[in-house]
Amino acid sequence: MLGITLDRPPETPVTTSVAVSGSGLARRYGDADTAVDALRGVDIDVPRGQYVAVMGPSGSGKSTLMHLLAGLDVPTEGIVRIDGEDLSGLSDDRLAKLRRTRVGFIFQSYNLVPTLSAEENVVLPLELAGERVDSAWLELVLDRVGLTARRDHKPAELSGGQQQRVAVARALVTGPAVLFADEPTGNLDSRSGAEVLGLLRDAVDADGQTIVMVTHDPRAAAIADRVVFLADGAIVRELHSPSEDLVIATMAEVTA
Amino acid sequence: MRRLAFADLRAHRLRTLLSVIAVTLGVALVTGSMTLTGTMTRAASSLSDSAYTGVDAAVDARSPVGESSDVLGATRPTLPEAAVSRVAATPGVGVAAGEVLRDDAQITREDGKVSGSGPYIGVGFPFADAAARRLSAFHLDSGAWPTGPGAVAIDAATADHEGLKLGDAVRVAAGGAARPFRVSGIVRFGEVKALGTATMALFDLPTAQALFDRRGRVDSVLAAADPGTPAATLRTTLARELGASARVRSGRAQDRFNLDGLKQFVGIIQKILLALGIVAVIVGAFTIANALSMAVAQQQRTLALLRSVGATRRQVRRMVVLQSLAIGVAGSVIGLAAGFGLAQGMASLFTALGLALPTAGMQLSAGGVIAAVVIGTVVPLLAALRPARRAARVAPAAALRDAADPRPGIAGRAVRVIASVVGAPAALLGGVPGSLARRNAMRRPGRTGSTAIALTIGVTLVAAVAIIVSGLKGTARSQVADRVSADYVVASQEQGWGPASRDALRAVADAPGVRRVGTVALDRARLGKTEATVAGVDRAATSMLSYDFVSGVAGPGGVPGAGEAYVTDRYAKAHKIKLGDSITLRSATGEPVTARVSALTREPAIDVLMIGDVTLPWSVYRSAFGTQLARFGLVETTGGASSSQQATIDRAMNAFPGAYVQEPGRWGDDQVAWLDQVLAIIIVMLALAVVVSLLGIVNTLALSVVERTREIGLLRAAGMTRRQVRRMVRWESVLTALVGAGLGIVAGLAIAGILTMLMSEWGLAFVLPVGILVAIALVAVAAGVVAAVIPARRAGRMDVLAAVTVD
Repeated sequence: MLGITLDRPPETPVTTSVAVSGSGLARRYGDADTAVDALRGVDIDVPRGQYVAVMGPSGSGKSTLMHLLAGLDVPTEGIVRIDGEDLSGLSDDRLAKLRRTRVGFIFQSYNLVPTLSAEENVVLPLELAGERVDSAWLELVLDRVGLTARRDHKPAELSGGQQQRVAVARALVTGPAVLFADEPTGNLDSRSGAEVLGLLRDAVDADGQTIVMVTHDPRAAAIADRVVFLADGAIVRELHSPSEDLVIATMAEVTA
Repeated sequence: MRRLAFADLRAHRLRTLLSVIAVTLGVALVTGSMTLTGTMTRAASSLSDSAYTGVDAAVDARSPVGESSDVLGATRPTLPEAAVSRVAATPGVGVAAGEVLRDDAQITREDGKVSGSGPYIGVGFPFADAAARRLSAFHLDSGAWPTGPGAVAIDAATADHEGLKLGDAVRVAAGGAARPFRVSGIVRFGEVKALGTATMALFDLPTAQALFDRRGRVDSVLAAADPGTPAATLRTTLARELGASARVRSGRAQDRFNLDGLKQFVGIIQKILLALGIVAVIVGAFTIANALSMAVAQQQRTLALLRSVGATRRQVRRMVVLQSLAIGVAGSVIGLAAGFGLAQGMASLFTALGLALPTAGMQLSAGGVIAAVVIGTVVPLLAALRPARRAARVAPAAALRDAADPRPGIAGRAVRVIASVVGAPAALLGGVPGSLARRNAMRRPGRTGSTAIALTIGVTLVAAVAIIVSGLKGTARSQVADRVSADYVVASQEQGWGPASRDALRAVADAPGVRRVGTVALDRARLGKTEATVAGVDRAATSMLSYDFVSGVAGPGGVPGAGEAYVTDRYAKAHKIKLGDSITLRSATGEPVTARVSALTREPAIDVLMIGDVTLPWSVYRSAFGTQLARFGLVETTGGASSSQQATIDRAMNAFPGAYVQEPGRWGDDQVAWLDQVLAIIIVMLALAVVVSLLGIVNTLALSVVERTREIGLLRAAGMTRRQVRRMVRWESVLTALVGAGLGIVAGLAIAGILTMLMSEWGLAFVLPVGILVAIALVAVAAGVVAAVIPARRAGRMDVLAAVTVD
């Protein structure tokens, strides 16, 4: 009773321990006759500093879930909260501004604006918000993704792995409440993929970054703290700090 | 293939519509200008038919001086009135009448303003004589023919324009003071209401002779043959009867209303309008070529698919050609209809610009229709060649991924530099959207350039002409400033061009505060085998007007001595006259003047003073040449120029409605004010280029937005608001327009610079019309903003999710 255990890093604001949450999320596409339920009642809380992987067969609703949690799409039913803020009813402008500072994105491909250099791509969200760039922080981020030397290169002059590392830096630079990654290694060779996954893991371990990642790749999922399996628009299984084998086995089970 | 071609046109409605509009504009302009000028030419021809019918022989005085319009109000020799009865008595003549004709009979309203902008046709004719009337060019519309000293008949167009009715009071001045008349009748010239911008005042013969300083004289004797006497026979008889001092021609050959001049003028207008149409077609061709190449770029995948299922290169090429043909035909058909409406619009525009032209019975000419349709279909076909070839080159296994931006050529790199420069303020002021827009404009410089070129063509023309116009104006100003030291110049209201009445000058001399008035009179003369313009100057004039002597010496008080003359260096060189030579001038009435060349004077090639090739002292000039009119009068006052002094002089000239007083600088500006009309026509061209280039910019932007769907989605995901996306597209549009305008201004500067350099020895200055160039840039910005409306809205509306998940 004498010792006090801290369950989160002391620098994290104490407003809420949940970075992003969805409750009763449902998403229906199309009109009455041809309607498709992509998601049917999903509840999920992602605590701060957790690395969550979302898996499931094609059409299971994993991308829809990520889009809803990121505020890119609006649920037919249910509520999404980022940093405690309810996204329902926010105007498009408010959502855009929220994305600038509280959310980071990494996509499978086509992650960078081709006319901007690596560094300009990284600071894009800050510039859009009209915020001053903290140069020490920028150096740190660039250094962490190993792009200090190639900061002035255009995306076309970078390899796929390097481009994805720029995307990671851009997603991290604002210190977002949550980073969403959609198949971040899908287009990369295994070595580059491993590098990117390592960067994401480091962000969680070193800075307490929250990450939600949609993936097909069991090896990528095995790096996460928690793996959520979706099928037919609902969460069917969850694993905590699983091994790659366990992920493969569970996938097979879910798909069957 | 055909079904596919049309399906694609339907699927991309905006692109198709923009291309069709581009063709429509070009075809409409060509049709419109050909219709308008065709109608005008026909009107002018039918005028000479109806105006000169019935005149089998026209007799006037033979003159050593030809009919030149170089000097307004130049002396024309007249016939004694007795010639009328001599002609009438000649065998074979059915009916004969004398006519007095002048082109400076100004009709004025109550407020003293002169109606119309000339020529001011004044006619004296025995209108009361019903038999003689068939020799006249006029038909009575309403009222009665003018008879008696107080009656005037005016043309229907002037009556309409001034709101004059039968019985209204008007004043008419011809060289002297204005006199009051009452409108007795309203007439048509031949069949038409208007002869260009001319006004017409008709009097009975004695009234006109008194008013026009033609007592006992007539300008022509018109005659019709007896039935049974051929016109040619009549003319031969008359020529024999009247001797060498008279000239006998057919009414049409004499062309006393100078309708051939009207036809030539219509010809010039036609050339200008056709040039305008061709500019529109060329600009339209760029728009179509651009639209089709974008279509090809956008259809890359479809084309690859077609090729992989067995379409040959030829089939693919044919599909693109077919599309352009469809666009061309649609645009031509709409353009034909629009062109007819445009012809009427242009007729009104010319009227508004002060260039009213006869436009009776407007109709589409077969030639115009064929030309327009050929241009409207062939030009798009030519424009389709390159895109079609590119389409055919698409490999069946074309990689289905975002194409890398192609490496630009030399022109592209130049455009990139310009885009970078004009985009710098955008990047500075526009934040992220501005700086992204700048880079977007730079990333496909070829496309930016070909989109902007439509605007470039128009801007080049306007910039070059504006620079030359302001150069000419600057030249005019400095010439007047250098040579004229008078306080005021008295000339005619007609932009300072027309001659001043010497009666008006005398009235000015008597005005309070006026020390003296100098006269510079001008007339035409024969000099050996050629003709020359002769000026007569008095001592008062030379005290306020300086000559630049190349050789020889000035006479006493600056006026050539008696028996002496100054000749300009240019005229002397052209006609091999040397200092000290003796020259003999013959006036229009045949009076000879012999003088020794006592000095050669420098005459600039661009001469705004226009005071003739040969200068004589007034005492000699008056003995042989016209003295009723002066090129201008120079006024010296006791107290210098002031607004009250100018008002005093104005009042003194009250009785002379055509007269005008102005400070020399302003007068010089007025002399070249017609240049502004030229500029106005060219600016109409710019308006056109702006409209067509708008279509091109809309097209390019719309495609770029589609192409960059994922990029925009990414930006939106990274937190760009809709408003920022719209702003980015808008900036890009404005930059594209500015690149076009910038290239045009640079090209215009280059053209004007070269022309100025070539003409610098003639004294053309290089003056930068900053105002107009700034206005062009502003127009470009506005065009860019307007063009961006639709594409920006599309980009802003783009669904983030759809954009990031598009495959």
